[in-house]
Order: sequence, then C-alpha cells, then structure tokens
Amino acid sequence: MANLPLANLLHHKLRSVLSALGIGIGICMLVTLSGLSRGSLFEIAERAESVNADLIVSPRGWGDNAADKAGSALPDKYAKVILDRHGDIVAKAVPVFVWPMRLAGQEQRATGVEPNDLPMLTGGKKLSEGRCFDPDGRFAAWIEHKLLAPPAPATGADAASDDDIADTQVLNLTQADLADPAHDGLELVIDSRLAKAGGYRVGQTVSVAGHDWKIVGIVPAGAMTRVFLPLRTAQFLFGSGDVTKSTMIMVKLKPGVDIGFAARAIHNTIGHDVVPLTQYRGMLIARFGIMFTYIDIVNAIALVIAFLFIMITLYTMVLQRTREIAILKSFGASNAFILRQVLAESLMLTGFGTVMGIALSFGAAWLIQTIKPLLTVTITWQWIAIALAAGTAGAVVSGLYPAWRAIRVDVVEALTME
Amino acid sequence: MNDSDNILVAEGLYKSYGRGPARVDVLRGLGLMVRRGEFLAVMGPSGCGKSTLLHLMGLMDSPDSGRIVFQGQDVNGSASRRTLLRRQGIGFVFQRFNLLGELSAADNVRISLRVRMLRDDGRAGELFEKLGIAHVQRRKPGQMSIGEQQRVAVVRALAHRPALLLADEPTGNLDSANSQVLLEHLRQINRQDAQTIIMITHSAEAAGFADRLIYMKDGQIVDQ
Repeated sequence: MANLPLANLLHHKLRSVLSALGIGIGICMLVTLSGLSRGSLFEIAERAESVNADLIVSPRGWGDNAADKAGSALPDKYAKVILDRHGDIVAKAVPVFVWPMRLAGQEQRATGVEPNDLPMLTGGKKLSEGRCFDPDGRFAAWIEHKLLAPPAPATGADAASDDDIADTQVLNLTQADLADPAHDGLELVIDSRLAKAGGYRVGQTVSVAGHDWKIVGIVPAGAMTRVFLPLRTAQFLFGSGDVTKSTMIMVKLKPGVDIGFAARAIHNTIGHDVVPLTQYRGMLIARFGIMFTYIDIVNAIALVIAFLFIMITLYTMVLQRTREIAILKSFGASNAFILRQVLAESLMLTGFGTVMGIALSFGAAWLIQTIKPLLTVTITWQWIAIALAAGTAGAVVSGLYPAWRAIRVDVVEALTME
Repeated sequence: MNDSDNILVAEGLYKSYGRGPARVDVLRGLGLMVRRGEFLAVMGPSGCGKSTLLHLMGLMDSPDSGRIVFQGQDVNGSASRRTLLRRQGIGFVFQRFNLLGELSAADNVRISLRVRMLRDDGRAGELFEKLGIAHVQRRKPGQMSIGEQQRVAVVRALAHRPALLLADEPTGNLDSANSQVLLEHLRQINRQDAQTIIMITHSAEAAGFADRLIYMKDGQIVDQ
C-alpha cells in the first residue's frame, strides 16, 4: 500500500532526521534528567531502606529534615534507655553519627558506628575485601578512657576541673595519637561503588577532614552510606569532642512487633521523634522533591520547544507540498484523509524521534555514570511510557495546525499556480 | 436524445474572479452538453475560460450562477457533495502530469485508489499494459521519460473506472511523438471502453483526435 507520509519523510532524509533529532533531544532530556534526579535520590532511599532496622529515632522536631541531618544531636544514653524500657519489643538500638566527608571529588555521607553494629547498616552484607575498622574496640576503649575516665590527679594551681577534662584532652590529641597503630582510630570502610569511583583500595591512605585515614575494608554497594568509620572517631572529631552524642538511633524491633505501636511507645518514653524506616523515602522526597518539579518544568519546556520545531517542519512541508495536497484533493480526498496524512507524518517523525530519544537516554545514562560513577541514572518503564505518551500527544498537537492549513488548500488555486 | 444520454449538462454558467475594477468575468452564460462515450475537445485562446470550465466540470469549483448536472445529479450543492461525486466519477489528467514525486508509478495509482477507498481490481495493471508502460511501475517520476509520466497520469486517472475523464492540455508538455502516442491511447480507450473524455487543448492536431470540437472565446462557446 502506498504510504505517502513515509515516502515524504524518506524523500527528505536529512530534514526528517534533524527534525526527529530535535524531538529525540527533548525526549532524551525528559528521560535522562528524570532518571538522574529520581535515580540518585531513590538510590539513597534504597540504601537507607536496606538497613536492618525498623525505626529511626531523631531529635524532637527534625521531622522530614532528619533525612539530611548530621552531627551531634541525640545522647547515646537513649539507646540504653530504649533497650532497658522496651526490651520486650526492641532487639537492638544502635547510635549512629552522620557527617559529610569529601571523597572521590564529591561529598559523601559518612556514618560512625560501633564495629559490631556495622552489619545492621550494611543490611547484613559482608565485607568483600579487608576488615572492619577498630575490630577489637581498642580505639573506642582508648578514646573513652581519654575523655570519659576520671583524670589523673593534677597538682598546683593549673589543675583542671572535672568539667575541663574533655576539652583539655581534645586539645592535646594529635594525628599521631589518633592514628597510633595500637588503637587504629582513623580507619574507614567504604562501599565498592565509591572504591571504584575514587580508585581506592584496601590499605590506601586518604586525606579527608584534616586527617589521614586508612581504608581497611570494602563493603558491597547498597549499604546505608558509602563511608563508615568508628563511632567514637566520628563523635570525637566531628562532634566537638563530645563522645556521648550521636545523630540518630536506629532501632531493630523483635519479630512480630507492630512498628506503629513500637514507635509510639518509644516516643512516649524519650520524647523524641520516632519514625518508621519505611518513611525514609518519603522524608527524602519531602525534603528534595522540589528538585523534581524544577526538572519536570525544564523537561516540559524542552519538549514544547521540540514540538514547536516539529510544527514548523510540518508547516514548511505543507507549504512546500501545496500542489501535492491539491492533487490529492483533485482525486476527491476528504478533509479527514488530508488530516490523517499530516498527522501520520507527524506521528512517524515523532515516533522516530522518541525512539531515538529513548536510545540516546540509555547512552546518556551510561556516559553520566561513566564520568560520574556515584550518580545514578535510573531509566524506568514508567518514564519510557511517559516519553512515548508525550511524544504521541506532542505529535498530534503539533500536527494539527499544519493539517488545518493543508485542509484549507484551494485545489484550483494550487493546481493552476506555476 | 434524452437526458440519460448526457453525462454532463452545463447551463448558463457564470464565473468571475476578483472584485471591483479588478473583476474578470471568465465564463459568461456558458451552456454545454456532453454525451456518454463522447470524446470532446475544447479549444480557444488563452484566457478564454477553458481551464475554468474544466474546473467547474471537474467539480473542483462552483459557478457564480448557472447549473451543472453530472450523471443526472444537480451538483450545485455543498462542497462535500461535489467532492464525493468527483471522487467516484471523475478522473483528471493534467498538463504537468502532477505525479507525486516521492511515490513510484504503481504507488501513484494506489494512492488515488486509496483516497477513493477502493482496492485495485486489476484495472490499473490492464491500463499499464494497454498504455505500454508496464515496465515503469516501480519507477519514480524522476526515473521516467515525460511521455511515460503522462501515460502513468492517464492510468491513475482511469484506474477507478471514472464516468468522465478530464484532460487539461495533456500534450502541452510533450513532444510531438509522445503527443501522438498519448492521443492515440486516449482515442483507443474512448473507443474500446466507451470512456467519456473532455480534453482542453491548444493544439488543433490534438483536437483532431476528438469526436467533437467546441471553440471558446471570451467565456462563451462560439463554435461547435
């Protein structure tokens, strides 16, 4: 069967390809930027959701902001209080100290945690290389002794009061003290994705936050954060020397315990915010979801421009083919037939452009993740379907005006013009 | 002769273009009857209204006043009615062939059938054979000689078995050899298939192939 729209597109190959490319770039932007923004954010959410815990306890009033909070905030003693008061429903309460550290050219959320509690944050994943930091707790014991144990008796007028102990000893600690092989405090465990992105390997020393850290282990990607360090090191270095407070407490409930009930019970006991871990994704979206709106607006503008481009192309083609349209009308072509021809051409052009755009999206995703390995571009069927729907709707809308012009072609005038 | 012998009757056709001082009266009360199976040639100087008459008879345009009856039906109705009658009953051959350049000869014929919501019943193939251009069916217009292009235009115009074939200067762009071939084919189709043909021409030689000749001047028929 003669396919005039296809024949027309093939007759003007370069123009057709350029027009389709315009659509393809718009579709590629739509799929890639959506995949990048949502992919990166949801990858963080998925990592958080992989934690083997049920509740997050954070300071009162943090609410949705807990998703990106860091530093000293919540006394560790609450972990013990939770266990003591709710031992019937709570299996484990783990203080974690979150702080940003710059690695592989990008800020990473690092988590300080007791070595024994690391498996909870990795979702049970075992280290693929090396060992855990502070494996026998020597550094924790050492720093606690330094900061929490009663001071040696001082003599003379310069003797410090009990309140001054911590500050005085902080000031006296050096890089050498912290990194002393006897207690190994400046050690990191990183995830495999960060290791690949930064070219890091076990045994390597990296300078971060004014200290030299030794990478001692690598955990498979998917753990809560990409960087882990000893809880006491994190508290001491990033919590102004206060080794009694963490950022939040992760709570694992006993099997069969109702999460909502447990959250209310713990909240009633300590008075701080207690939210199910399953709400973490929602918290992230509430905090950063506005980014999706910005990106979606940019995408919409790009698509509108792309479809204006298609409309101009089709309009130009209609003007150039006035005589051909008149010939079809001389055969007795109905308005519906002419409309179908122009819309079919528009649909073919945008269909080709949309397929091209989706293919380009996969290429762009690969390129982005190759250049910036820590970014995640997730191309989902949902966004491919949205791209196809946008392409189809755009094709129809942008084809309507040229089609209307085609319908209005005066057959006598067009056939008699030279 | 009764009315059913006439495929087309035009009565008192007036048609003008422009307004005010720029107004040009192209047809001035023209009347015409065309019999079924007739091969009619229309001649006249440029600007005498030949093409306008063809457009009116081809139901592509409507007269300012007057009446056209095509196959017994008054066609002074809506544009959609004229389109329907044109689609079913009329075929056109243009001076400039007007083949669609992106399509092959066969596809040019197919698209005209598709517009008419018809399937190829084999008539197109017969015509390609009859006009000696079976070998060009897969060629695009740019790959054919002008004589072949015009014969493809004839196939396209007749593939749906129209009651009336209108030819507007069909030999105007052809050399004498190709003109001769085309006119002989038209006459053969007229004779063998009783195909009614109205041909506008400047050429007395072309007009000589017709059964009847009418001569137009200043928007009227001055001689038959």
